[in-house]
Amino acid sequence: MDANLDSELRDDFLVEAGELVQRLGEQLIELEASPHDRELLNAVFRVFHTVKGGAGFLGIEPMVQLCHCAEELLNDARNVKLVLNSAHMDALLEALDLLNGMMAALANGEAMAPPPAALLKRLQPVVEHAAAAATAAKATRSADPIEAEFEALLDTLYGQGGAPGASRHTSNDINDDEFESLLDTLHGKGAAPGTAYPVEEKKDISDDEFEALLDNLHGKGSAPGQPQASSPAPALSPAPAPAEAARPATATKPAAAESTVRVDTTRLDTLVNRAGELVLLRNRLLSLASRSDNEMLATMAGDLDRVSDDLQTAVLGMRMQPVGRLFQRFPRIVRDLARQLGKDIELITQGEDTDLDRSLVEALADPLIHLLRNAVDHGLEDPAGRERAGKSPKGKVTLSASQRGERIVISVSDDGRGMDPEVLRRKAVEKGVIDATQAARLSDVECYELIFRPGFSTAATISDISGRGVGMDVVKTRVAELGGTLQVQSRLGHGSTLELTVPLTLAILRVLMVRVGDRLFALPLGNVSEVFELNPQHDHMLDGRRVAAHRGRALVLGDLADWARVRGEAGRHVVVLHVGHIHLGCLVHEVIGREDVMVKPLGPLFEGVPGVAGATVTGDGRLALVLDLAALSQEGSGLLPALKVTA
Amino acid sequence: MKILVVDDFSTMRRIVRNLLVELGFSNPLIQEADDGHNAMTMLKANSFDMVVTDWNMPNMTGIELLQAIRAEPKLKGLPVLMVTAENNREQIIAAAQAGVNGYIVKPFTAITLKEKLDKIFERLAASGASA
Repeated sequence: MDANLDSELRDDFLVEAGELVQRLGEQLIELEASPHDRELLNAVFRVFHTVKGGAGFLGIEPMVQLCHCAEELLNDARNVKLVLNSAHMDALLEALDLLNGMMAALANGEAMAPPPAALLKRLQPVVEHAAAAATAAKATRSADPIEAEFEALLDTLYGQGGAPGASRHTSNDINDDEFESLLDTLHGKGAAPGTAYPVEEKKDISDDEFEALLDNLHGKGSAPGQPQASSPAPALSPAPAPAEAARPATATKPAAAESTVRVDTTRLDTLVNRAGELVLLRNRLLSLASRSDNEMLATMAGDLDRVSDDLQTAVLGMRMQPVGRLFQRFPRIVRDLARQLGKDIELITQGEDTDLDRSLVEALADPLIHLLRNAVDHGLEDPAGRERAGKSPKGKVTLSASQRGERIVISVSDDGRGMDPEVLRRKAVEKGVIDATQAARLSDVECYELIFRPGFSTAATISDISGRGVGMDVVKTRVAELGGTLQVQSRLGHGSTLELTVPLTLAILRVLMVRVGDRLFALPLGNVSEVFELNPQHDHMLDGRRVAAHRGRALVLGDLADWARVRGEAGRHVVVLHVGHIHLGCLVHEVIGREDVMVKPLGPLFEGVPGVAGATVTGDGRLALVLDLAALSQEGSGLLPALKVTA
Repeated sequence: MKILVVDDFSTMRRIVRNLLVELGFSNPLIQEADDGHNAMTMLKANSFDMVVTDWNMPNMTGIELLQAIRAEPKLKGLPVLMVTAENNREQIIAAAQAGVNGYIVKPFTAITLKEKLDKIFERLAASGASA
């Protein structure tokens, strides 16, 4: 095989084996919970087996070695020679980590070290145990009449204990010559199955059949024993087909070998972009048709509207992936955390088949891991604490996904201690996040929201797990960048729920179109909470900042005309934006309305302009900049020189 | 020569296909099935000259597929080459009993594959002559 083909095969292998290995973590955790689940054991065994097979062809020796050891251990478990204990599980999970590392090394073209001998040893069942198992296996083998028959058969065939070219008793392996002789015995010298000699459908061999085999053998005249010349030719009328072969399911399955095609994601994105452009053109045509009195044009535009809508839905559907792909890596994380913290935790996942934009599946991984860690570390009590509170010692964390309209809701709930608004108030004041007067004014729900403030951590000591590095504020900001929101509910003593909401797709953005001067801007609707007209009497200057009194609060105002450097009349319309925990009012000249737009990148020349996420073409063919509110709401963004949070 | 390659792992199907093409078999005549049930459907619907199947597959194992093939009057003479991970005696005897024509141990080269195929065809020719 040439190098090109090899690298293609390697890529295929990485994708396909990668998918198997990705699922493996979850399967291993399940297996630990139910070590006797045969189907699961088989599935896990098959993953190592399959990866080993592929790696063998690609000549990846370390991977073959590692998978082989894991496979052997699982095979013993499959054959009930041993029951997997937690030490085995640890070794298998470690093997999985190593395997993941090897896959990464393979993808990056890096060299691979052979698996550490210590790990391989841990994957091996204890030596005495293995020996005992072998004896046991041998005992069953000789007790098995069929096996005994065959051993005898082979003995006669090759002479007692002898095999051509190989000493058979030292290995369970068979060689080519032996196999050929075996076929001779079964089908007659040099013949093939299904031609000369009838073939049995059953795994078992009946006495009659065995006699026939012996006949065959005796025909060659080497074995002792009484030839049964009168024995009729084996009555092997084809038995009814095995049940598996006749399953009706086979009939309904399509005959096509491949019902799926792997497509490079960049090609998918191109398709999404083209469909987006088509939608933009359609919008323009619709707007043209509405201004014309040509009926034919109106009908055509209407038809095109429907077809392009369907096309866009279909194309966007191709970008969707079940959220289960994301969830499957979490059981492992929760298990490891639970062991580290000495807690007993059950992770329940729900709604794994909820579809989500492909890019969101990846983007949500880190925020969700953080929420889970938080639930496990801070939310749940240790087993003793739970028992004191009259709960089951086993804590429960529920991860669930569902679709609500155009949005996906993913929630992480625990049945732990819940949050105490009083404690949160006190901590926030202690840490200087807010002052005592502000704290006193906060409602309970607003107290829970304090955990999203920068510099706030409820843990008294910084733990290894969730108290270091990123805080909940970073999670909230990250979610906001994805056009999502993060909310918290809690009941003291009963647990907390964090609810993360993101748009179904990132390809189409629902925006609020506004005008400043003669320019159009699109504000992502997910961040818009309301729109109102500014009463000049409520327009004040406070601490050098422009604020509006709105709903009994001071709302910091920023003039989009200042940011866009547009001169002219003063904006009177306020769009209230919330980005993470930041609320601000954005002054514009006119609020045009809601629109679904396809965001297009601006190209290298304008890439990285702060505050601009991209551009889009409106129905009447005009260009509108799509604003990046996460960047605009940063202090000193130009929208507001020194933006401060309103409490 | 129409060959059906059966394996649940598409990378492996591709490897076997590449090796067969390397041996001079026509690429468009090689077809693939991702499990035993699909393989049976394809075998019943089309006429294949040979099956190369993996042993360890979910839903329907290679040996179950082999048994199904031998139980089907139309297919019972169809040559089947079994791909296994180990040349385990018990396994191979079981496969031979079920009517396998040959076996090959992963990983293998085109040369090994050719040897195995040659042996199968030799035997087929011999039984064809005697039949």
